[in-house]
Amino acid sequence: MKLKTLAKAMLIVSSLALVVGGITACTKNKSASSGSHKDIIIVDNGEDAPTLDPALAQDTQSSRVIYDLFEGLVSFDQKMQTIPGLAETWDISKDQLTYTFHLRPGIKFSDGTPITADDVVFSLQRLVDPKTGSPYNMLGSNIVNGQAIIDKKQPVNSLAVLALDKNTVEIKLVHPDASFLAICAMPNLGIISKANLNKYGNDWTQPGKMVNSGAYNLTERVIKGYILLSKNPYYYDAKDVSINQVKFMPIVDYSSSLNQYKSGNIDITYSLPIDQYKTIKRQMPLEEHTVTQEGLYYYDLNMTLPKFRDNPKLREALSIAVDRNALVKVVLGQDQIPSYSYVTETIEAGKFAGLNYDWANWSRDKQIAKAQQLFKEAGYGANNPLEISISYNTNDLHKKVALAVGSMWQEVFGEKSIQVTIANQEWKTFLKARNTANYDVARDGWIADYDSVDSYTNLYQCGNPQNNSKMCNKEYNNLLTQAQKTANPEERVDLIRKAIAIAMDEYAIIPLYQYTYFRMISPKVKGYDIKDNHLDHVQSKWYKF
Amino acid sequence: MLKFILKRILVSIPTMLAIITLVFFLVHMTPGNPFDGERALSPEALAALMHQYRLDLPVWQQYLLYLNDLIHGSFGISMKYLGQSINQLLFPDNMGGFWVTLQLSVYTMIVAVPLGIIVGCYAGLHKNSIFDKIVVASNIFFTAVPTMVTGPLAVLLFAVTLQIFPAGGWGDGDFMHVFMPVAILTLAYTPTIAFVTRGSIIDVLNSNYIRTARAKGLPTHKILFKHAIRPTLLPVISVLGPMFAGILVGAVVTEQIFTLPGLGILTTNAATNRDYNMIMAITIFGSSLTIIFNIIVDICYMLLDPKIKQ
Repeated sequence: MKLKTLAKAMLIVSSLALVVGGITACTKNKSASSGSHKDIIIVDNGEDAPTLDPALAQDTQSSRVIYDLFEGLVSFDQKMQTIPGLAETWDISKDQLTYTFHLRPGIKFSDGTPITADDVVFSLQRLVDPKTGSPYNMLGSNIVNGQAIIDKKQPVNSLAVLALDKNTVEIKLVHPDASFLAICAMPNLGIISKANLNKYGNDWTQPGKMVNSGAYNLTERVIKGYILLSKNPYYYDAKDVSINQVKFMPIVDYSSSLNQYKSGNIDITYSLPIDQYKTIKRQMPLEEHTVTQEGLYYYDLNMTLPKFRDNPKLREALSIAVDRNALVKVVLGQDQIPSYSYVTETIEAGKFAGLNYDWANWSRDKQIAKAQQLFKEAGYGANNPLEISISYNTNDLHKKVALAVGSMWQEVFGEKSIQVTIANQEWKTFLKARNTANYDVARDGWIADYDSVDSYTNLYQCGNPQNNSKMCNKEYNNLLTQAQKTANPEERVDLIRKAIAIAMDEYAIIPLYQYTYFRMISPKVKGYDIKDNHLDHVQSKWYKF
Repeated sequence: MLKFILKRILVSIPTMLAIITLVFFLVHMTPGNPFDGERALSPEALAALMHQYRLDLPVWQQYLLYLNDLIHGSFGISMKYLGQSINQLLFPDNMGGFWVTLQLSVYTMIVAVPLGIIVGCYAGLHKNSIFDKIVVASNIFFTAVPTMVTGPLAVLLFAVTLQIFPAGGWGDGDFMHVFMPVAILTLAYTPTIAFVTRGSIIDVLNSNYIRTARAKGLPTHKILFKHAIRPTLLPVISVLGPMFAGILVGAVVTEQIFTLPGLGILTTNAATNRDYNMIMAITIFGSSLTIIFNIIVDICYMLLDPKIKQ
């Protein structure tokens, strides 16, 4: 009996093992790490890329992979300057409304078929086509008829992007745009193969089907597992692409990422665990990189609420009362830069620097005195305390900031004069509440897509879907429209500076700090010049071992 | 027997329908939609996406269309991984999704179940011995200390410091990649199995028919294997069903710590991203598994306990 039972048990266990073994054998594909680690770079992408379709990408993760897979007419260098991409040269008309791009001769997609002006026209039409549902279709809104196509008022083929011949594309703009070349270098304007898309329809982004115009092509993809790219032999600059394979890992947990980095599993991390930041910086100063990011962290004041809308002094008092230096140095401590303006100092190489509030350089005591005075003038005090609630999406960092700002307000105005509650919300619930102005004060932030002050100025325009404070100043909008129309670069900067000053006087948002991002880079990875990469645009073709 | 199984399956159909209906409407009532993001979409782009995913229709119409899809064996298209079919995401052609979780849970069960039962039996037979006390204490310890703690500790020790195993990833499902996550899950589940077995065998050994068997002068091993083992295993099996289904539907923390492309990660992602179709698919799949395992547990019960058979 004993033996029989044992034999039965053995039988069950071994059949289970066989089943699992079978599954493993069936599902096993070519090994992802087939090349030696010398030929392959393993990069943590922070999360899995939701899409590899350039038109549909709207997040850092997708964009990062798309930069390797597709190239636009224009590309970025490591200092975020525009350089020739698939177009070797371009001419800009005097009125800055017509761009003529000349494609590199003989360029090919990863399947060996030629890249033609027709593919460029197709790619740009697809971006603005309402059927595509591109979250970034506004990148094409300045092309003649672009906005009308987005609004379904014109057919897609009316877009003013014309193939003059096989290698020449002409694009006509509605108004001059100093950042149009940078827009052409965005991942959403990566050139895709018309023939490939027509052949496979919705399935075209699958490995084995996708055809690429960038330095790499898609080899394998396991959702939540990895994305493996291999060098595209038909890429025009293939001889200068040093690394044969790039593997993107979606490591959500920053501590896991750091552990994998330390054990040599990955070569570049996506970020760092906040609580270990200082230790890592001290222990591995050469491998840890902190980079100032082109983005602002700020608080929205809900301008649809009478208490804020009708009381500019209260809004100003709340902004002055926040000690940004303490917030950045003591509370966060990750080299963020205190912010006193509606745009960053770094955007467009400092053209909009120095627009800070005049109280930014005052002593803390003077700031406090001014804030207290304004608060009193606004009608609040121990007899009429202000009740205010700060909303944020559940996250340690947002919580830290909310607690700090709340306690600064209480310290400056007195606990009897202001009652602050902080309320965390689940991500999507928070987004909904913030977008529909269902909050008092809400955490907000914006990271610029390309090096243009428009990234920030658009945020404060009446009716912009991203304008969460719902401020609306007609004069501000008019100045921006004027700036858009002018072809004179100096006049443009003047007009925009004037506009920003007007917006800042509204005190509808409280700018807090400029972001930083962090990355561990293995010493064996050369060629990645991260220091000035404020926009965090990276292409694997830059890496070398 | 067959009649019993058929009856159970028939009973589970309305249960499933109730689950599908409830989850469908709950999910669609939750604030926020799949396409909300830090960057607000333009109204046109949002309208296009809503239309593409039928979200512009009244909810009851969406519900009926969804049921129609289900009958045709389709879970729909993901709203997070735009354009990817849920069937492909859950059951991909290559490694990933359910296949990873299935291997992870089967390997864990292969190790944890025999180990737990042997350890539990030994502890129960030697009640109050040092070994028994260790089993009881380790059950409390590993129940209190979750994989969230043991996982990173193991990674730190075996991957970062000693560099024996990789710190994460599933590789090709090879031994080196699989070892640590399976070991961590085994560590988490074995003490529970051992503890239940121990309690059960102590109860059984105290029962009258075992005392009778002893009185008859039967040798210990005969008492154990002929009389005690079957009733001992009954409560253990009832624990194993839900446990196995639990790991299958998502060893979320373990998958996150070791960056495994399994179902757990897909589940948490689906919920935070309001990927309606993915949430529905995982709920339906998870509920079916639970129902199936409960039926299997019942069958095992019938095989082990003749009283139920009658």
